[in-house]
Amino acid sequence: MTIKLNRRTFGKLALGAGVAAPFAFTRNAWAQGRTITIGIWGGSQGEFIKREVIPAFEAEFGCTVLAEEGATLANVAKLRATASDPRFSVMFVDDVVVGLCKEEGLTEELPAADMPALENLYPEFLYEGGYGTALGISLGGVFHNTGITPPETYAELWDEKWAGKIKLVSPNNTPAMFFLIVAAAVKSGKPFAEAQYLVDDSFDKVAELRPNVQNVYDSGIQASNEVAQGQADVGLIEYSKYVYPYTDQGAPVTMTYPAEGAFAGTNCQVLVKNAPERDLAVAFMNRMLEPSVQKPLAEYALIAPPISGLDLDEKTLGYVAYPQSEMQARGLFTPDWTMINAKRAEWTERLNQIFAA
Amino acid sequence: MSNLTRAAVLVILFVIVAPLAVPVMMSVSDTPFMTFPPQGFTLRWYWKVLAEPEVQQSLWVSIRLAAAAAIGSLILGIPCAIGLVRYRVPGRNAILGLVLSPLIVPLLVTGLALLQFFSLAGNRWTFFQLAMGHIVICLPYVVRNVSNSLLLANPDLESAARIMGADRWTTFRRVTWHQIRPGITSGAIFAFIVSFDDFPISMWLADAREFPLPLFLEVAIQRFFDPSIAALSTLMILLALVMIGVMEALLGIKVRRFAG
Amino acid sequence: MMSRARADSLSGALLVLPAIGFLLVFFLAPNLLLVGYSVIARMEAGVMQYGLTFDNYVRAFSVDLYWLVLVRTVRMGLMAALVSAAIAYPLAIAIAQGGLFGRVVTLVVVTPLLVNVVIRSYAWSQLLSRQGALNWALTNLGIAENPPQLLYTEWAVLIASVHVFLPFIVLPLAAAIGAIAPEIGQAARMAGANRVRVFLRVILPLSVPGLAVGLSLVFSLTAAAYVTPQILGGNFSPLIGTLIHQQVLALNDWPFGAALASLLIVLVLSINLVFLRGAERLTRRWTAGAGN
Repeated sequence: MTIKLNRRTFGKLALGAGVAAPFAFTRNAWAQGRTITIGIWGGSQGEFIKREVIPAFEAEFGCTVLAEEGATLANVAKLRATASDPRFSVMFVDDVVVGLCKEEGLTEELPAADMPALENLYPEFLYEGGYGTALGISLGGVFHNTGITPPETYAELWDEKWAGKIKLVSPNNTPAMFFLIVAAAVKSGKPFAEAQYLVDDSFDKVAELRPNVQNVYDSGIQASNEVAQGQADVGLIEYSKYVYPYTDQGAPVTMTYPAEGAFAGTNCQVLVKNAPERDLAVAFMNRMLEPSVQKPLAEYALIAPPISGLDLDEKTLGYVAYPQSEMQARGLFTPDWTMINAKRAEWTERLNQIFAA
Repeated sequence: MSNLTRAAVLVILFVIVAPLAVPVMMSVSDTPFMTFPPQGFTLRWYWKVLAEPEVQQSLWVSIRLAAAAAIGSLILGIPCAIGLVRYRVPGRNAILGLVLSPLIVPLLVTGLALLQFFSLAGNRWTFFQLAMGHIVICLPYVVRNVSNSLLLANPDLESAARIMGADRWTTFRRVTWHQIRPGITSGAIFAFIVSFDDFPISMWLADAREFPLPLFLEVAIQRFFDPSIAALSTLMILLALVMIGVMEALLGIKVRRFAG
Repeated sequence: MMSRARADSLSGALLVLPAIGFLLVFFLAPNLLLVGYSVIARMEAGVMQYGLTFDNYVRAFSVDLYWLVLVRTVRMGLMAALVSAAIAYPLAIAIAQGGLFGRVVTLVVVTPLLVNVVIRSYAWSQLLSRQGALNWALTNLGIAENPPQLLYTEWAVLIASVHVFLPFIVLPLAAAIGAIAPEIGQAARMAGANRVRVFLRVILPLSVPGLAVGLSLVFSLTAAAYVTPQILGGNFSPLIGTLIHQQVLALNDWPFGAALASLLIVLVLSINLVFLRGAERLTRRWTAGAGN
């Protein structure tokens, strides 16, 4: 990394004469001593951001970045709760709510002029005319213990041989919506693209899975850990980013993508409306898209980068769909989130009635 | 006691202790994921978890918070106990009821109520919010412990001092203070522990910067894939054993007063 | 004398005032505000509407999900209280008899209180899972083949709740039993009563006040728990605390969350009242009966 000295930092360097060594090399003096709060996810992705991306960014800008972990829905709730007096500057959310946040006026358009890294972004990963970008794409599917024969189709999972052996994702998490689409597809025999509009009439199919479900989990990491321990055989549906890092470390758990198809699990970043320290927030979002962050992030968390032109290592390419041509070849399905957002509260209550009542 | 009862008691004691032994055993497993029975032996998860910056930060938050809660509840609780025991206060029973009621109203609800209260008041100082919440739940322990030692002490000593011409402050410093010192020590220790262990109040008020240890533990269970969470649990269990030993053996504080 | 008493109560009032003021501001006011909020606001299609309303309560009692969770919360609290009581008697008798054994029992019973509730629940989850320590022991001792998993059932929540809150019933019971003069038991034994009769006729009735305190503590703590059901219930058997948390932090429906929280307060206070009043009446009747 080259260090450019502007006039102010140069002056400081001359005056401070090494006493203020850690600050002297700051090239972004305007950010000195300022603080932003961002909402991030857990897991390897969050770990890498906390351990590598944030400390480097803080050192370079002389600022503080506070990272608060949360799932997408909880993060949106935090945005709503603090809308009149924003506390967060940048929020990481799943693609599902990027449009919703824009509509509710919780986020604002990214200033393309201040974000040079947008240039390498695949156009399809800039959302809602510039109200969010993808950060990484994982695959949505089934995770299973490597000691069992995984199901070839989703329909198989309704068989009673899976009784009490399935972990199901909680309606608080985005992949639960994938599961509802799967249930509709299994019931109707139609592909995901059509089945997603039949979810309302498919809750009887959802209820039929009940005896096979061991528990409804909130944390994909905890669930894949339990599957690795052999407490259950399979879990559905989860983003590969919560599973592959452990597969890679030698834990007996991996992903499978049944014949009906795989989902695109896209993690995004949005800029909060009236964000505190907006310019710093924009700089951070830009940093997240730079190749110097995207390549190691992809190789650490095993997620596909949303930007072009990266040279990922062999191991990573075995886990992710990259580059874009590979994503297209796999036919990853992205649901109609606008329709789903309108239905989400109702579907959540119906899922709760089946599993929690 | 019949042998049957004694046998039943021993079985129950085993069941009380056994669960705590499970994380201890799993914490040394030399596998990248958790498993029972443990395979191999390693202490590396202990080093890993102790080196974790988030563990250190959360621990520091919890220590600061518990200290603030203990000091705050002593400042409010000591005079309150003296007033209630040694003076004719109007509405004494109602006051006692109010002081003890944070133990009865579900903590989870008090925490939520405080979150709403502070957000309506426009307060955004998280540490202050946490400290106020923790003082509310620690106060009953301080008042009860100090009251107990006042009730056990001989009030005639105070009267005697007053008759001998000592003013109130001198009487307090020379007589009352010595009488209630054991109550203050145990009240302070209980307050520290209650705050250090609190989950239901902190869960509403904490944020990324002020994230007490119990909340971190709950997140860590969902996040740590390897046995380092078992190692952290083991350390916490050892800490509890040390505290009990210190309280019972050195300070003569009856741990059971926690629940009584 | 009059003026002395007045001065006395004045200084007394000054001494208690800071604590009272603090609790009025940071405890009573927030809680009343929360209860009030449940009847002056409601969420409609994601937008907060203000005005006197009972919609939140109508919803809590008409949608089967919330109603069932309320019932489950009461049931779980009662079961935990009863199971704890049954386990607590032998322990309390051992403690009341004192000696080294009594001291050891006290320490073992109280130790878990100092271990954080998250750790204790986590320990149980590792013990009760399908490949966990309990099933491992059952399989290797040849007691059961392929035993079912207890984790993520209501049983797991019940077991852990009893474990976590047991000291809160053992200690009041031990205090009550310790207060019974040993001569009473001896007299009954000399009169020819066997151990069971001594327990039923002497220890049980005289321990009722301690029992009532213990039952209401265990009930209240179990019913208001968040961590234990969260870690051990697998989302199949949420208690009301989980729902309050979900309404406020995930769904952002504060008024409904406030309504559920108010219901929890009412539930806990009324059960406390029932237990303690009931115990009082029972004791009065038994002592009156003994007089005949």
